[in-house]
Amino acid sequence: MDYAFRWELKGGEDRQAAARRLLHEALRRGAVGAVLYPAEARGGAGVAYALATRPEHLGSAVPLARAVPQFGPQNLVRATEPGGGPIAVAAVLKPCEVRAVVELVKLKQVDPSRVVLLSPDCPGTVELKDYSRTRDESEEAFPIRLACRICRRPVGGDAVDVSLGTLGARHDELLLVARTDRGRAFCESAGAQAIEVPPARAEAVARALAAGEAAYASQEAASRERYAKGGAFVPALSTCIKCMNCMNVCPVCYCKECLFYTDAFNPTAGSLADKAKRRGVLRVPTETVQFHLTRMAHVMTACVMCGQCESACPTGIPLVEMYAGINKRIQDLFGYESGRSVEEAPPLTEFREDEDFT
Amino acid sequence: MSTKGKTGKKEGGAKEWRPRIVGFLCTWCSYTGADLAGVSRLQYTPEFIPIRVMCSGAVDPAYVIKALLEGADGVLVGGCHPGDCHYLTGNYKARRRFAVLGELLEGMGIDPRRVRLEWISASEGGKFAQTVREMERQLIELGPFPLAKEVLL
Repeated sequence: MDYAFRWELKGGEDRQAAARRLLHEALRRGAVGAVLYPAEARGGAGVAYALATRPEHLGSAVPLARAVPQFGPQNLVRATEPGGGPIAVAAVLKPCEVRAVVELVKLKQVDPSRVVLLSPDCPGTVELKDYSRTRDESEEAFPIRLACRICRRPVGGDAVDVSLGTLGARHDELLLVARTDRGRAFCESAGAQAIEVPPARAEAVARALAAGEAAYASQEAASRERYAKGGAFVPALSTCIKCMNCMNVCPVCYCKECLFYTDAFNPTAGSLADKAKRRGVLRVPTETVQFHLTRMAHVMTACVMCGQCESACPTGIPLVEMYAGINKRIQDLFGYESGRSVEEAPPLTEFREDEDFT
Repeated sequence: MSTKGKTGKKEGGAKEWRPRIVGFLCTWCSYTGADLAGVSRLQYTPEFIPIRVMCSGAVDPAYVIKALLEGADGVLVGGCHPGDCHYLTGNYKARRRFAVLGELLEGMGIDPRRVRLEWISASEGGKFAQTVREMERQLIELGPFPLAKEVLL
């Protein structure tokens, strides 16, 4: 059941400032002990996550930032690790990052009992390098990332404790939609005013989700045309420099000991020469196709399509476009949707005796 | 691969291509089944390369992908029948992983019929040989694994 709270805009502030004041109040009143949030660099030149324990540092907070700094979910892993001190953390993460957190909770990487997940309705984000444009240019001119343009879930789902709602909200408010008791308690202790869920909310959310589904479906069809049928897969990976950024920034890729850092994937001089001799020709660095295919096999059931992999790629490999052709289809095999609920077990950790996928 | 296709001769001495199949066979069932096929002198392609693994559930998709990219035209994963896994549930998990792999390969333009998961018990030497023969027929139809020729693999 959803509970709504009005967080009124005060004294000419915009929603960004109101959201900042919400975090400020939550810290000041002790609703949580720390806040993880996007913080803006001086002059709006850039944005990065910060973890604040004192409200006076929140002046640069931009909870509704139109960019996703890397490593939000991963930092929540660090912040909630055993031995980290018993503080509750309110984390302002985009809906995709919250989905990643859900996956990490199921993989026993995040302790959810110490986290309040706040998530803005997400109208899409730009690359980090373009962040300053979101201050200087009109929204129509923003180069929104492909992952966002085809996002099926631009509004936080049931796993979000509190949505920082703009959809269906009045112009003079931020609409806080609490989905959990913890979220409700957070809103109350921050001093938000309880109201009925406005009818316009459900309608606006449904519209946003339907638009997202349609955009994804159309990209899925295009991706399958290009990769499943068009043979574009190996050529698209040709520029891979095997920096493994895509893997390192992936929020759901969590193994502490990684296959790709073992000797099996790091040839010695002898094995390299051997292999070149055997094949006649060898692309170096080796195993880039192996790397990407294996990565897809390993993470696609948990992949939340946040697109951080693509954003981190220095050579612009269209990973989101590739994944769009398989992400939903693979999860559909198991009736699974990554990030939907902490109650659904990751599909590769369970089975049914009578199932057949052929 | 340069060593491929050394078996079989067409008339006139030209070498006939036969698909190379790598098989990951669980030691308790499918590998023993393959052994039985051997001692029973059942015929199947000499281009079949068996790799004994402890359980089909231990076959990470990475191995299957590796086999294909290193020169196999097809990959067989053999495990115990459902309910018979020596480790109780390994084959059920293999089945899910394999489903992911198939969807993934198809999505990236690799025909998923090149890979096959089959339950073959220790007593099913005949099923083993039959499976490999079927796979060979299928792979002859599909032709050599096309990505093997890609320089930038």
